[in-house]
Amino acid sequence: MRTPVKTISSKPISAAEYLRQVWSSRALVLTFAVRDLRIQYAQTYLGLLWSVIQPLTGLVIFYFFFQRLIHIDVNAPYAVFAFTGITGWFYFTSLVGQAGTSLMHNQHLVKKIHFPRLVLPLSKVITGLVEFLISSALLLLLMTLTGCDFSWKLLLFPLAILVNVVVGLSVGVWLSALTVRFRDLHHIIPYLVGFGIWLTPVFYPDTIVPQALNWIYYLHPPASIIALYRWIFLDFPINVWQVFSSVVVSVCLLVTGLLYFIRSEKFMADYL
Amino acid sequence: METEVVLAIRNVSKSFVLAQNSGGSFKQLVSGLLQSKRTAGTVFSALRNVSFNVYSGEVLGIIGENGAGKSTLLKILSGISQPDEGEIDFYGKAVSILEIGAGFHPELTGRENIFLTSSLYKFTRAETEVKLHEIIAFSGVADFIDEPVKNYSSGMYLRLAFSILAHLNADVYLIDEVINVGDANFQSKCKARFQQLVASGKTIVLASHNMNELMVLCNRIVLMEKGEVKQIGGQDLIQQYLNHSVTVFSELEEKGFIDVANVSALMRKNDSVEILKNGVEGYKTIERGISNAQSFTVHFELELRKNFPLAVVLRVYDSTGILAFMCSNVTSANALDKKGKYRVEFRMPENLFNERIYTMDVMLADNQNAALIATIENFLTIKIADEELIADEESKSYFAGILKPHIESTVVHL
Repeated sequence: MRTPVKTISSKPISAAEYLRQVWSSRALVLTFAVRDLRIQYAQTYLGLLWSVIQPLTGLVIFYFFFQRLIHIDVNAPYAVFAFTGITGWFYFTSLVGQAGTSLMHNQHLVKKIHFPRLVLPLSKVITGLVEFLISSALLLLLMTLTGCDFSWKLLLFPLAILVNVVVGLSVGVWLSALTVRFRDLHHIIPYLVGFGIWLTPVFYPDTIVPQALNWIYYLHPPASIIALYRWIFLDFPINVWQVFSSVVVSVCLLVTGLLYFIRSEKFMADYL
Repeated sequence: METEVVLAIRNVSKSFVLAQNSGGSFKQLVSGLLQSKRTAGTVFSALRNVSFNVYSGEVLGIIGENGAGKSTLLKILSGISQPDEGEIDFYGKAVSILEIGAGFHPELTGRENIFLTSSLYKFTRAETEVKLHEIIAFSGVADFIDEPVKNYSSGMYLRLAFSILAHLNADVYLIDEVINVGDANFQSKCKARFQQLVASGKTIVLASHNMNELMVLCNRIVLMEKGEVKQIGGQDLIQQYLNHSVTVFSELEEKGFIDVANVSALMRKNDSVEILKNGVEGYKTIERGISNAQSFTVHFELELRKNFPLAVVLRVYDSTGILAFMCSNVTSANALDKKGKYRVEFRMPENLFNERIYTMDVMLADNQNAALIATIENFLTIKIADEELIADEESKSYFAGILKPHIESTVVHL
């Protein structure tokens, strides 16, 4: 009796086996990312430049409101301060929004071709990263223009990006699997992103939040991403315990999210 | 011929909960969260205890009516949907082609789509590079290969998509009625390509409810009915199927020669249109079926939830799956484009149908941007009897053809 090269059964697949399948489809992650970048900027004159215009517009608005009108004191060049927030926040929201809706937007594929579905939200890590890096380059330019110092902490930047990815994916993976079952979430995501910016110290410093409420940031990982970036770029003080608890929260969310995703993958094509 | 098993399908079952699962209203969400088991809905058993082997080098045809479970089986074989019970062992690399051009993106060029599609089917870039020239040459769209495919004609689009799939290297090909693409010239090229694959020892599993020419390639046929394997046999099964399995007919006879499904129960919830009621009226039943000498109407009562021009399209097939004709409300003078409730009637004229079993599909589409909202396949099965045939007991001559319209003939003695 020969051994089969593959067996399909009603038994649930183990997480390790599933991740192995995802790993063997890693080329597809890149293919989807390239496809999405190509499509996003197809037939636009400015192309990838749009990924710069979006955060820059945000920056200009925040600059006029919070610097010129309200004179918020941030203890650093405001443009650099706000742009560290915007850069981190945009990557987070692009992971939440894009990864979260990736299965819905590719349902024609999910229903007709088999591949590990996790590839879809994962590919958004790369599309988002491209825009994030362009935005980061702009940030370095802003720092040079405003005469900021660069410190050795820049070496930790890749690590901060990793935290950013984990935090974004932890929400994105949950949402992508849940929207297949509960379509309402598809409509809620824009609100999550829209309101979220007010609850996160993107354009204001976390010091204006009363001490008594500071514990919220322990449970609000995006705040820690921004705190990390400001520590790296602007040498702001950082609360190590806040970052630590955020990472723990996000890793837990990501692991449970992956488990839920794997468990619900077998029904995805039936529900879409 | 070798008789090594390449695909062993054992006791595969799959059921769906209709209407319940896809709606996802808030009430259902709450009740779904509170109850551990799925709440009762109409459970539709799509596959029941399906078992058979596929042997290497054979061309296996899966036939059966719409809703017999062919597509569900292929979805399970391709790994898209998971079975509730049973298992399938693969002894070779399988590629499943459920839709031509499924991975295509209109904004990408032909060349980019070639790489995208083959990587979706788990082929590496290097493997594709090797085949690239062959794929482009076969498709016959070489001049436009660096144009976005949205600028292609539908024929070019399908030809390119087919070329990619036909050049994927696998041991087993699982195909869901997608072969008939392009013009006659391209179709014969496709057939030749398939014969080539068969000759080189590849295994092909082909599902179809059209008894198209390619079925001629099959060495073995699996006949499915209502989610079960009804019979496995050779080419003669096709003929038997065409002549109607006796059980289907006897069931139809019990129901008075007409079997109408409740469309609203089969339709997925959507926010633009809902079918409230449907039925057939005005027909006359005679000894062997519904009379073709009297007209009858197929009607739908529906509610439009948005303002848009709705097209209700009926497709009428004969029992072999050949499209007899289509009709729609679009030709009607009365508009169906504002929110509200409507009744749509299709009057099937007398002296049109032949003595046959017909099935009907209904499609709902947004007529403004030609977007399909729903297709309910096979919602109506009807056995028509030819009155003339009965009146003329002596001759017992059947008229050939899908339809038997009343054609005036005049004879003038010269």
